Amino acid sequence: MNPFSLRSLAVAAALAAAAHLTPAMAQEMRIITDDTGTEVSVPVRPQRIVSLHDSKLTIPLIELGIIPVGSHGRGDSEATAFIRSSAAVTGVDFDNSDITWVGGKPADIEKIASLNPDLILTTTWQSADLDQLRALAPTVVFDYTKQTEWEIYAMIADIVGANDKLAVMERRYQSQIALIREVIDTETIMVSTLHAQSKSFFAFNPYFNIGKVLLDAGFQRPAAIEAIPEGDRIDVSAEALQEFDGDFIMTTYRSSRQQYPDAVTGYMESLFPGFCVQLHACREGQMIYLSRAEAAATSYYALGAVASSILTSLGGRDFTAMPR
Amino acid sequence: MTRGFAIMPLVLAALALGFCWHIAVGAKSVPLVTVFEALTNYDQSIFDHAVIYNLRLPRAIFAVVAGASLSVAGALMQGITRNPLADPGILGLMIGASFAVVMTFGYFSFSQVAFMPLVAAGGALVAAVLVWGIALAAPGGATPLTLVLSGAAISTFLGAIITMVHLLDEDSYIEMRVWLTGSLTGARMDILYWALPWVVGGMALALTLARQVTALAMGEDTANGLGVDVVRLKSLAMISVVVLTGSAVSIVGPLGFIGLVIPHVVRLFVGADYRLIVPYSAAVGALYLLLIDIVARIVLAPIEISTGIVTAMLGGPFFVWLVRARL
Repeated sequence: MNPFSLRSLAVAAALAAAAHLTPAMAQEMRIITDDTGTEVSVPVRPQRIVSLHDSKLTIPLIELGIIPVGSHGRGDSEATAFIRSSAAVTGVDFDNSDITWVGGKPADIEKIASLNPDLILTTTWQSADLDQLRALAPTVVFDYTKQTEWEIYAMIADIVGANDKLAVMERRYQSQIALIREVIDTETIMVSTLHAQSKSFFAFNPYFNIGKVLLDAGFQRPAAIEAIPEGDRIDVSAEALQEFDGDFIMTTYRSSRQQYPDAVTGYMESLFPGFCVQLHACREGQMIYLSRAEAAATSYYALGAVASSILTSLGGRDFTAMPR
Repeated sequence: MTRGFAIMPLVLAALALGFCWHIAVGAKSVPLVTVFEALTNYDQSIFDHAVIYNLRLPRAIFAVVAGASLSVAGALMQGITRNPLADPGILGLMIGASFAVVMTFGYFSFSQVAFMPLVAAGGALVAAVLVWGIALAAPGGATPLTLVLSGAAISTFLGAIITMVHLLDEDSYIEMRVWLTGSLTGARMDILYWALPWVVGGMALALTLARQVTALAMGEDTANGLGVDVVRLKSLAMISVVVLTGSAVSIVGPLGFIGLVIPHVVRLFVGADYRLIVPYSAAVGALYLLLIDIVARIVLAPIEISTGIVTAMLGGPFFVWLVRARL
């Protein structure tokens, strides 16, 4: 046997030994199939979860009452790292919890290993090596092109055994949607969602929580937004701006970067000087600004906050309808 | 010399046509009559008028100013270095300007855009000095090849720092990603206003130096023999180059290869006299960027490609051809 084969054997043995030492092996297990089509043996009651997407996986876990031992986060060091949107929607972040920051994209494999996880949750967005992750602990991969974030949320709840809690949150949300439908004649109102950053307007179909609430409540949407492939985002040419007009326009600002509504209008003004004259919703004072923390985080709290904002902003008020 | 300007009216007519074409086409179809009305009888309540007047007209002006600036900068660089491959992008000035802008306005969150052309010019100057220094220290001195290689080294080094800073704070730099590809979308009129005096100054200086650059392009000995103070000329020409490059980068981001391609095209028609090359480069460079930007806007409409991607796609093969033909 040559030395390279010996070394390969040694590495394989070490990985196998590491796998046997993980806490997962001591627990009752069950099989689930993840979005890569892989059958993964996961603990029935995972105790040491590492999440590799902050706003899409860590926030649902926290909301379901599970504090992961490690999480992906933004920032460049332990001192500056944060779980995007989490402070605003769950109140939990690295600085006030026992969650360990395991890096960004790619996540730090050694840090994850040091946490001795019994389950790793990740997405196809994360670039950490999947084989290495799977060598550390059972790893479930979610793919946002195959499931909506809310289907993934439900799957997380199932994995961590929190279906009851999810059902309560879902019921609260449905009651909010029912109230919007009672108060507002949603099917006669067109609400657009349009966003801006320094170099482009952009639109999603649908735009995360705002899009979900608008769709669930039955509002009309501009044809230009419906024409975007579901789940996609497009950059919108300023010349096509009027196609994204509506009775109301909902837009977002990034409070996590100390940007507020004036930053959004500043972007819009630089992309299309005099844009407000050209958009019915802006001209009539019918633009609504929401923080992206609530608008985009995969969280029932955030979903409820958006539903509440829409109910408050549109319910029981006079407005000027856009000529159809 | 006078005969050399014989085709200038043609070039200017083509530039005027290119300008009109640029504002007549785009993601939205606007009838030519409306385009004309928007320019002659602007009504801000009409959306198509606003598209022409507020979007396409400024964008055409950005293209003219940036195209002319980068072409003249490239022409001057080729003249004073006697290097056919000289270009603000290839010799690292553009990445120097971009680096200075990213660090000053991104990392340090400086918000006074009035200083952006100056900051970019400063970055271009530092990069130029570094490239020159590295090339001079190389065996054989500052030859075309060592200049290009040291330009590549500086570009890679500064590019790596920009990438590192970006990776460390992905959220803050996401918006600079498009700017760094060179884009006329969302270029800001206020930055143009601040850059314009620098562009005019840089152009005037280039035109003033053109006669002496012609002498220098024939060799330093010839230039000395004709009474040219070579050191002074190179210093002044470099000021013009960094000011024009910095101004263009501050307006539209780094647009590669324009300064390489245009002076060579111009030489095919007007010869080696920089009194002709400089003004023709300005006009042809402006026309070139107008046409490139039309392609960037309509080839995948309604999605727009960054203009810098198109200039690189055309300039890259030209650079390869130039290396094979001229080195």
